[in-house]
Amino acid sequence: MAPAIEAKNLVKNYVTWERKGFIKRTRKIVQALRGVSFTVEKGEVFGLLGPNGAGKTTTVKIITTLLLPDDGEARVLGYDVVSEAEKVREVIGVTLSVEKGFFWKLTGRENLKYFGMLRGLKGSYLNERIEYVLGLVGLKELGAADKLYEEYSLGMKARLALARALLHDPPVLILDEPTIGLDPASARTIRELLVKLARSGDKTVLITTHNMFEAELICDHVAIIDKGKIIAYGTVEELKRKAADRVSLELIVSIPKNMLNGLEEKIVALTGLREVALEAIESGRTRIRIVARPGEEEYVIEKMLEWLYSNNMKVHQVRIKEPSLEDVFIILTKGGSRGG
Amino acid sequence: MGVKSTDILRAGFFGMIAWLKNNRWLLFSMIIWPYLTAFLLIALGMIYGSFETYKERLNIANPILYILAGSGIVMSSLFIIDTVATNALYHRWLGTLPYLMLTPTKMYKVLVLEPLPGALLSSTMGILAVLPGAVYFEGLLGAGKLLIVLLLVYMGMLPLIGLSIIVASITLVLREESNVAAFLTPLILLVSSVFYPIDVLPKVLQYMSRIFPTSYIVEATRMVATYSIPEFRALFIVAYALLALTLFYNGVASIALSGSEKMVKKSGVI
Amino acid sequence: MTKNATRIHAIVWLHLLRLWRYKFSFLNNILTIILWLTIFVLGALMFIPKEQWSLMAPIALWGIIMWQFLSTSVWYIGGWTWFFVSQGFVEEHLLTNTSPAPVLVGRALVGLTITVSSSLLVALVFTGLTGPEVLLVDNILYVALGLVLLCTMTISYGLYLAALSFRIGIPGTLLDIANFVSFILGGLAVPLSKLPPQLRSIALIIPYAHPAEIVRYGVRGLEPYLGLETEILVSTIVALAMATIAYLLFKYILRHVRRYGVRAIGRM
Repeated sequence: MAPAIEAKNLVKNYVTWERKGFIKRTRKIVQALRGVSFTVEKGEVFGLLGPNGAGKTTTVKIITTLLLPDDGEARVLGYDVVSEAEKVREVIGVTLSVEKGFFWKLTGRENLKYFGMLRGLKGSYLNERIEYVLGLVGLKELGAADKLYEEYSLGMKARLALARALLHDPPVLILDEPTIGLDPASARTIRELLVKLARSGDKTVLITTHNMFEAELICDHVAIIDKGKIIAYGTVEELKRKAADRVSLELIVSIPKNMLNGLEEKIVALTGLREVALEAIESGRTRIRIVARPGEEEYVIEKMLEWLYSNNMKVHQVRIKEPSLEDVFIILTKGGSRGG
Repeated sequence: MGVKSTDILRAGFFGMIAWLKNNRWLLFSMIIWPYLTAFLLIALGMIYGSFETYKERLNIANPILYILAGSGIVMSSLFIIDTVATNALYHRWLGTLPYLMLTPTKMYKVLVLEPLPGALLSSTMGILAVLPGAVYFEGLLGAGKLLIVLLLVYMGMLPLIGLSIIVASITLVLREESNVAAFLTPLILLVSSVFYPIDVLPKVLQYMSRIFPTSYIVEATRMVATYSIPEFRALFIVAYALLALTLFYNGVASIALSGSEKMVKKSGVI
Repeated sequence: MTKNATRIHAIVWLHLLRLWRYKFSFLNNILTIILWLTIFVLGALMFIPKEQWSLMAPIALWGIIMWQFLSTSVWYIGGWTWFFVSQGFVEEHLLTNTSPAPVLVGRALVGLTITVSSSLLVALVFTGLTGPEVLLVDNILYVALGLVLLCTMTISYGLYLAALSFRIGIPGTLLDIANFVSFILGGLAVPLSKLPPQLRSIALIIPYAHPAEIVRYGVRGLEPYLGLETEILVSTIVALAMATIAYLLFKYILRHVRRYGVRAIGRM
């Protein structure tokens, strides 16, 4: 049985022009994908994670037939995304941007009707599907189905984008950052819906995100992409094991202002560990994060407490944290941000 | 403590330079447009009829120079209204309108001063573009006459800005995809009778022309084009009329804008 | 109904609904066009002795109407592409297996509505200036044939601009200049026989001049410069060629879009 989505060694380069001075422009090749491969099995929720500019959207655009790869191949339900693009488009539902791609002066329902008709849906079947998906994503409940799109909040726009993706009842959903910028309640609604659709057995969902919490919560498998390459692939638990050689220690401390200067260096010297981070939090407290190797944690905590008390600093909380997907992400992507 | 007017002007000036640097076609368009409109009118006129008829109908000495100057006025007025009136709408499209509104000063000041450097530059370019034509036809005297026209355009700019703010206020309230009051520009230019004597217009439009500043600029330009030495007394009358219109339009504009600001803030459509 | 018929239905429905929802913009557009045209028409009439107005008026009126077909195709198809691309509609339509070309051609409906409405009002202005005879037409069939051929050409031109805006920035000013120049050099405003010889040789190679000659024949029986049969033949061949090129160009540009991605460049 063919997997729902299969990408093999995808390569994509972009040509950009950089302005140098008033007239001169220089050509620059940007390697967006450098051999991306992964497989998404039917009925699962698959997360493609990566920092900004890592190649997530390029991968999605290739799989959704909107972009041709320079090399490699991709298939959706066995259909080739290059030579059988039309068939692929029939079996996928896509959201590319939650804020674009709708006509402002049309209502949510009218927008769905238009895009449904373009897919060849018509008559009572189209109307039934519109009613169904509007109800499914909660737009009917919010009383927004007959509001003009320009009056929609971001959460409503995201729901409508998902409704459009579901309108023709496709077996595969490919969603590019479907919860970006949404309030926690809207994001949760969409996440729950995606899981429900996948668990019901008839939908496969691929989402891209850089929200680790979301990925940990709903994805069966995840792949982490960075600089155009898949750098990790597996279940969430498998990936967490990649960080099993690390233990995160967290101390919440009240530190006098005059002690803050050079504190990081002092802790590095004291513990002999290099991954130390300070973060100011509420009520003038500071969170100290130290990454240690398993077995070292007790020694490090003891050493830290001794030093903190001897310098009259108040310790409010000490925690030993299991590695999260976010830890894995940060370790693997060396910081997790490209500023894009 | 509010923001100083000079700061807003400086920001507007910087924005305009950056915009021109990245849209070099705009500079070209400012220069080419007056010639293009003049060419269209002259070519059509010459094919359909003759210059002699035009000269007689408008009672002017040099029709080519007059049409060129007229095209300059048309373009300058268009640039001014467009720059100021469309500015607010443009900022809304870009999503930068809320940030303009967040400037710690009156919205009226921001919406007038921010596009002002652009309006000044484009209107100056609209007139100066025809300078080579003026020098070619009438030598230094032609250049001198054109500078008087430029001065008139600057004076006319003040009431036009007020009028443009009224237009901007309307567009801010209506949620349409384009400037729905854009028809006002050609309406103002139509009743100002740039290329034809005002008596060809129906009486009602002739009366209407008295409330628009461009009518006075056109009238003064015609004086400049008709007499070898412009009649300064008449020009002063024009100046007073423009001053009165400046006070009137800017007064109305400030009320209109504060009204639309309230409505926009109430409905949240910014 | 086949899938394609449902698609065409959707596109027509979309454009008409948007036209209604943007009614103030629509009215503003019509008014703006009429007012600008009136400024220039009144200016041009000042070159003609008043007793000859009724002779020249029909030629000028139909020149304006034909020019509007060109202008609205440029702005309502070519100019709209910028919005279409920047709002992500190219991708959204491709995902439904719909080429953006028919959606953009559908904008001709909006352009046509504006052209017809503003032409009626311009005709009213002319009637006021020169009398109702200006509206008389000798042979409506030739007028219709000329306009259909002209429309095919201008829509194709609008599509060229749309396709080009997927790849390069087209300065809006350049489009306006091309429109202006086409009015005279494209033989829309003036019969070819009335143009000075140098301008005429340029006008002869601009496609619009030929259907314009057919329209003028239908309006006042003015003998077309190349003869009626030749003008019909030339216009038909050119119109078909332009439409075929538009089709091929769009196919090519969509391949380009899939290879390099959609870049919102459009009108500058």
